[in-house]
Amino acid sequence: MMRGRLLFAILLAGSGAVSVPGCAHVRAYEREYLQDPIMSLEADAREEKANLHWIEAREGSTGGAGAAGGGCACN
Amino acid sequence: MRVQLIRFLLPILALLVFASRVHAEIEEQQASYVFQMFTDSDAVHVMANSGVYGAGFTPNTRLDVHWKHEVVVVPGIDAVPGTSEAVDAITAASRPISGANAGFQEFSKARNEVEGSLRYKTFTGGYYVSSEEDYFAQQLSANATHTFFKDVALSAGASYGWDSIEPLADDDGNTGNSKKTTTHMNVIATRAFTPTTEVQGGLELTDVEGLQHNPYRNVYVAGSRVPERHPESRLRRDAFFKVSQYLMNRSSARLTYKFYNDDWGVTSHMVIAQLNQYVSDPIAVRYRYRYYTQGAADFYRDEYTEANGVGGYQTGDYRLSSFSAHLLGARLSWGLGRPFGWRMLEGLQFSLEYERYFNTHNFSANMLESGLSFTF
Repeated sequence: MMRGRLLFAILLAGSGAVSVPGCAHVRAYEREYLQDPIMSLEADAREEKANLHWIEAREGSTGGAGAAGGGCACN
Repeated sequence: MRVQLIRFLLPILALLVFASRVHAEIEEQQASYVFQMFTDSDAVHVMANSGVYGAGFTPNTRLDVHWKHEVVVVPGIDAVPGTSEAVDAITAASRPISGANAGFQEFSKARNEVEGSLRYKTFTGGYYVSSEEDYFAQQLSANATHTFFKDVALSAGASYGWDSIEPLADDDGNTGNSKKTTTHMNVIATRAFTPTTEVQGGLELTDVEGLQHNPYRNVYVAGSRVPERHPESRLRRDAFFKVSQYLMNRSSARLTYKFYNDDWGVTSHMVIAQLNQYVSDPIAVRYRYRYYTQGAADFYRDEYTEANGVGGYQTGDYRLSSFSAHLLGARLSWGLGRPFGWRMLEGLQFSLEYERYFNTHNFSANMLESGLSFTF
């Protein structure tokens, strides 16, 4: 339990660090590769949500963000 | 049933009325259709058809509507009636069984869901409804995104879901009509680190209150069959980190790590490694591997020897035990381009995906997905 809390705190700090401003700024004209569909984190998020229901029915910690049915038959 | 149908159809009608009033101002539209087929080592089959329609009315406003219809088929128990094997299978069944022979027959049920979301500038609001014979779920959600320091997009979201559970007739079940509410909050930061690297980190917190066990399942506790019982409150939290790197041979690699724990004592780790590669201009392939491992809930036991379970709770749900799982899959997507110079087919894209899932409980599953999307 203690190890879990420590790991959670490290990840919390790591996630916060993502939003800290860095020295280098990526300019608009340098974003060609970042805007390629194969780099899109958003497209992945939509697909993850669609796949969540059948994985949720097989694992104890996936999902839980509400809705997505919940039907008892596929448990 | 009629009330559920009305509650299900009302939001669809509201969205159609809204869409027809603003039809003249539509700038761009997208429609997609996906067929999914799932089958597992317990011979459970799920077939799902889903679609998304999205329209941008102005550069600042967008409406998306998603629907899904799925049918779950659970096979009958494969054991001689009256034997201890058949009794054990009926006890552990997660489906309703009412009548002497019902457990030995196939059971199927359908679920329908509709979700609508409206985005204005950086704010998005959504409504979700899902209906099946014994479960009716609704959810309201809101999300806002703001860009800081030119490179950091910070998104904050919240949702509230309220579910109504009305178990079907079940000979050994004693759970009456119940409720469940889910309150969820998340904060996600996405940052362009270099011209070829993007990172994302997020935190999620979910509070679930109400019925959380399977109303049809029973468990052997100190030699007697008793209904499954889980705590009615669960606080879930997770943190995740993703890094996406563009590689110069027209491919990208992505690594995701997620840590989860909750106040039932379940702790899990998940890692996903993914490679996307353009094979040619219109064809892209994605390979994905996912590893998942979790520890057991505090009240999970392989066998319950005390009459009161563990603190009054007992479960027959293997998802609350300790196990690991692997998922391997590949996806092929193909944009048609302009065959024979037909411009009208330019926005058409096909996709085909196969995934194989297996875990340390000797459970395995196959999922096949095919999709078609069109931008016009």
